[in-house]
Amino acid sequence: MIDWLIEELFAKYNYWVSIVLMLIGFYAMIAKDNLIKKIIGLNIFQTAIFLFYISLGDITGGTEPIVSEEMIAQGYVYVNPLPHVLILTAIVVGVATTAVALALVILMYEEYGTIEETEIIAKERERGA
Amino acid sequence: MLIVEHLPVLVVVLSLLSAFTILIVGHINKNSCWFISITTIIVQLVMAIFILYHVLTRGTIYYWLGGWMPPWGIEYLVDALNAYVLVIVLFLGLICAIHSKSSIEHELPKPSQKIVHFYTVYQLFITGLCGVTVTGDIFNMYVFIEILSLAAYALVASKGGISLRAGFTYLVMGSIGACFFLLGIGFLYAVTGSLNIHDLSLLLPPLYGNRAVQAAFIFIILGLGIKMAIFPLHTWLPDAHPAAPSPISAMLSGIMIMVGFYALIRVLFTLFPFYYNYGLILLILGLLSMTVANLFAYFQNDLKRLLAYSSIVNMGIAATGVGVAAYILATVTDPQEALPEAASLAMAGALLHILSHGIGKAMVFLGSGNIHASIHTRELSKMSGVGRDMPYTGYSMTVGLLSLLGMPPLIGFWSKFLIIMSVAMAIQSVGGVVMLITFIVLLFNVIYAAAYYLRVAKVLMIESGAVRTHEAPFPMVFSVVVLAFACLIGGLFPILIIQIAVRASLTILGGG
Repeated sequence: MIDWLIEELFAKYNYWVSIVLMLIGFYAMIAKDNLIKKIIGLNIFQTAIFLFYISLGDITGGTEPIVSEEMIAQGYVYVNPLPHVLILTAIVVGVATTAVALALVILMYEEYGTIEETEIIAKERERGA
Repeated sequence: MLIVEHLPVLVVVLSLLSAFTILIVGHINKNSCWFISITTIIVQLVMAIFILYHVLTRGTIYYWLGGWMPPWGIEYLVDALNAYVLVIVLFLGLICAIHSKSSIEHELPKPSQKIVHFYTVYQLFITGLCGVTVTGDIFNMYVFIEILSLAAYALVASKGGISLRAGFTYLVMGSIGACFFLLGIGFLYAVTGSLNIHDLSLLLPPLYGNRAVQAAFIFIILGLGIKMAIFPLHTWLPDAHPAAPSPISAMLSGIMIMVGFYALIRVLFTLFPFYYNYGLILLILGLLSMTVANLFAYFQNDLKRLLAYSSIVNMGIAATGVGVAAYILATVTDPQEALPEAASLAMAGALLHILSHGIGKAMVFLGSGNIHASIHTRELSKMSGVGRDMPYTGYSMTVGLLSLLGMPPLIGFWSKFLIIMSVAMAIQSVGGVVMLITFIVLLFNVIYAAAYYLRVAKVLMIESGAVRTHEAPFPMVFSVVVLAFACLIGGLFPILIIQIAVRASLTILGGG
């Protein structure tokens, strides 16, 4: 049991952190009524995936990947840069998503005067009836 | 290097450039937006047809961005399947752009202010669709999926009012889907260190037992399942698709979920082996989505909502076709054995179905836009006899509805016929109760769907109503009539299209 805890839980804590963050974000997106909180949940969800990617590329003691053949021969360890680059792209995508979402929320606030989803639905019903 | 080998990247870059050109030029002259948009899409369509011709006669096109060899650089790989989907995307994109010339004036609030942004986002949408289709790099595919989704969220919400919430719900669902897809890519990258789809297909086979690969498989199915709106991940679609302006509804229902479907086929069939048995998963999900959505569709009074549910039904049919193909292949144990005919036929049927559904559904959505422009309602109960007052729209929509339900001389018949026939062949060759159940459920749903398609046709053409109205403006009528002829010609001379679909299915199944 202790071995399992050490091997699976503590040694791989970075993955557990990203799983927990992801579930927090997911919960916020599903359960929160406030649209801004939903967007925050979405951001937490995306950030969890970014962390997952970043920790994939990391090596303990690794440094920047500017190396020559001799340095590798001396046992120089470097961090894989590709996940970071991918995540730069994904961050840009995340920012764009957030921007569109916030713009929609602003328009909804102008239209209905509230950002609570249940109240918006209630107002839609009133207008429809 | 031949000029045609540069076309895949030009198709994507051209519409990206035109998006920003429209944004700048549009502020000087608003009327030029539509011309720039149309011209770009026509040029792209011509390019796509050249690509298709080249791929069919000479073979696959490989384009390395910046001259970097795969697996280091991004590769654009266009084979028969990509080229086929690309031509459909651009053809329907062109028709919807023509339609939007008049229809957005009726459907957008304050159209004179929004017209520039509408066409800019529309071009970005086309960029995303083309990008997903031509790319051979899985991360690049994620980026393009996000580009097209972001454009789609904005376009869905562009009507304001009630469609804002639909757009927001769609955004939340779509982002979850994209994030799951990204996570799946992360797992694949963690075990292989590669992102090129072809390279992954070489590196993955020894790792199929690995848990990370299995997790990646599940995340990718979930992520793309949300994008293509398969049951039980379809809940955003009946809200989002009707909320958009008609040409955008047509694009979303006709093309966007189809591109999601293409991405799913491409990733699953290239990367994962049949012993994961996703054939069965797709089969069950497909059958469930068509049954559930059919039940909902029948009771809708809102025409566009009915059509949105029918999109889920048709995605279910296509998923069933692909599922049958994968299920048959999973039973073939000996890799040296020839590709079973039923499998390639089922796949070709599914690919033909995305074409026939794309044309038919786009046309009916555009037609509903024409009706909306004339009598300002989407409710079926107020549309009695409208089709007779608007003869071009009415008769075209009838052709579209008949094609969707699978009436013989139209193109919708051939796709459903191929899928049902391949299931019948599979009952003989593979046997088993799964194929038998598939056959019965599929047949039942195809017949049941006729009930509501015919109801719409009856309301439009046969019932007598008090509303007297006139035909919609020319561009709207033109685009609907063109699509009606496409249904008819595709149905009367299906051999060429079926041949291309079979070539595409052989490419993806690895038999040709």
